Amino acid sequence: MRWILAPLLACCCLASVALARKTNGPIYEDPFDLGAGGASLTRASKEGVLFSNPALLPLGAAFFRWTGLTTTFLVNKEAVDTARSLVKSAQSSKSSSSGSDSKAQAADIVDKVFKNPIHLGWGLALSTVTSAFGLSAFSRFEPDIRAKQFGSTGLPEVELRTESYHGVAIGAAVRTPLRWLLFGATAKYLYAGEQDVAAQVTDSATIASFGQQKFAQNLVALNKGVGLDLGTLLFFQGQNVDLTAAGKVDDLGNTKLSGTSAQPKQFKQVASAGLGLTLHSTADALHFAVDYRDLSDVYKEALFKRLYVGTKVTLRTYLGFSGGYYNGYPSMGVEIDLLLLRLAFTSYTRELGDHPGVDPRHIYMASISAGF
Amino acid sequence: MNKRCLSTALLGLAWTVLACGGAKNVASCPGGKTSGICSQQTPDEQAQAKLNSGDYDGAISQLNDLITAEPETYSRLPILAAAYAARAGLDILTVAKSQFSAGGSLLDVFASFIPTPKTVGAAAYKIHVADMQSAVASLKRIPAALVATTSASDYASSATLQQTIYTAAYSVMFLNQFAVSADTGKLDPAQLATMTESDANAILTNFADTGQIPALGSNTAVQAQVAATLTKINAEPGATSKEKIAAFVAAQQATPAS
Repeated sequence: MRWILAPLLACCCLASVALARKTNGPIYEDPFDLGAGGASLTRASKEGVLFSNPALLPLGAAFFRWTGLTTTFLVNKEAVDTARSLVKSAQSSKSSSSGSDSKAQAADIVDKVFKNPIHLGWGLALSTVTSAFGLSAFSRFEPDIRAKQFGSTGLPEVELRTESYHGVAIGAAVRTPLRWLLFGATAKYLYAGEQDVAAQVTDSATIASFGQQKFAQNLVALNKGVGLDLGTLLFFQGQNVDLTAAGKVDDLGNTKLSGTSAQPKQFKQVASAGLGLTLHSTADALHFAVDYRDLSDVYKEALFKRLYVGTKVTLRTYLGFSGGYYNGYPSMGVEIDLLLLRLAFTSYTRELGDHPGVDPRHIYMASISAGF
Repeated sequence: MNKRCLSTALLGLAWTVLACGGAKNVASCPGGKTSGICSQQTPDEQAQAKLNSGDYDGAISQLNDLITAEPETYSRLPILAAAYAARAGLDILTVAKSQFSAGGSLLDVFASFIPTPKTVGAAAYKIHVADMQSAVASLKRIPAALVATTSASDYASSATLQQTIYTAAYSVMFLNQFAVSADTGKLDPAQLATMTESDANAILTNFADTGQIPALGSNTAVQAQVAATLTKINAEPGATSKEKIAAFVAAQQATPAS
């Protein structure tokens, strides 16, 4: 059988598919904010403030807001399902010595791998945030592997996409003489890499390139550049009701990136606006938010990818729940504050395709933050 | 927090959770609505999605419509061929799964991932054979220059590999419709009584066609197996193509599958 499988399984053709990953969203997002549909222009958590809207820094009573390390892991539901199947197969193969059973299990694994994409990710952010300024060193990496029974040429295809963003962000904010008007800015020194490799069933002669050192180097290559975000906030505070309106410009004048990575070459300037409504007591709060990002549609994305809607409930500052719509799909999260330790769990769906339902990833995210 | 505020909070959260109530995208536009937030897949994306979800009839119909409208967009033909081949009972993923089988002759190998007259019934099998023929015909519609070794088209080598596999599969299926019993699923020389000399010549021509496809490295192993089979048939005793095929089938029947 090898005479037919060698060329089939030897995924042989590299094709670069230039799809932008980071588009209208911040380059780093707090897990609790993602649970709230990613609607973070008018309210963001911890170091997320620096990336979502630096004008949010002065909101709140304390000077020191957050100093600590946040570690995040994420995996998509389909990968978890595949892993479960693999464990079951391994267990049943131990108890069965039948050759036909082994073949059926192996075929089942191939089925699962071809039907379920694998999306993993991890992130780190070491930050200190005050009511006047903030500093964060961050790193996030998300590889995505998808095998299709019928790829773009009708034969099986495996796609590997990576998103790799690292850097340092420094933000500051000022209150104007008008108490309700705030401005903020975040400067970013970024390393970024977005790789797309499609391995197709084609000419086996080309597969030799997979073993070359250059192939591995390309996968981890990064471009670097410096960018600037500007934010503003209109904040109208009442006894139990606050109204907020936010405006933000990401990557002012386009953030140019240079280096050995094929993508990204730049992050385009994106203007966004958000509205927020907060119902609160002295200790608890309910926040509704809607963000409309990329107002001038520079990334040519469908509306469902530019509209972020969410709700956050914080109870006594120890417990928070969030829910919303992210990329048009439901999202939810919970955060527990154990004084020096914060635990957060988030579920959201990210659409990697250009249209709804084309290529969604149902993502589970867990994060642990140590700090104060 | 007073009770009113807490109630509002809980109602708000409940609204969010209830409204979310499932994994369906709010912009999925059931019923094909295209206004407002909704955004539709392109016709090509729809066809691809149908193909990957197993709706081969839908994919074939949609791709044929697209090809009729834009006959010179040849990149759709390999996908149409894959859809026909899948409907015929062969798809590349099935072939990939077959890596877990042992090696063997061409007939043994293809028997592991194409239907037999026994599994689908003799009448349905003819439809499957016709679908596989359509898969081959779809690929033949691509101008030779676009699938040549020097072609810059991104589907050139994959289309050539597809053509090799589908042509070989069609050859075997065409032979099997005469040689395999719908009752037992086994090779049976007695079945060949219905085969005419014209059918026999067509079988040999189909095998020979596989060898005419340009060799690109990835398809040479398949071509070698088909060529070896054709050589065996031609080496069998007999004055006519039908007699040679009958002798070949009898020899295959006598040889246990490896």
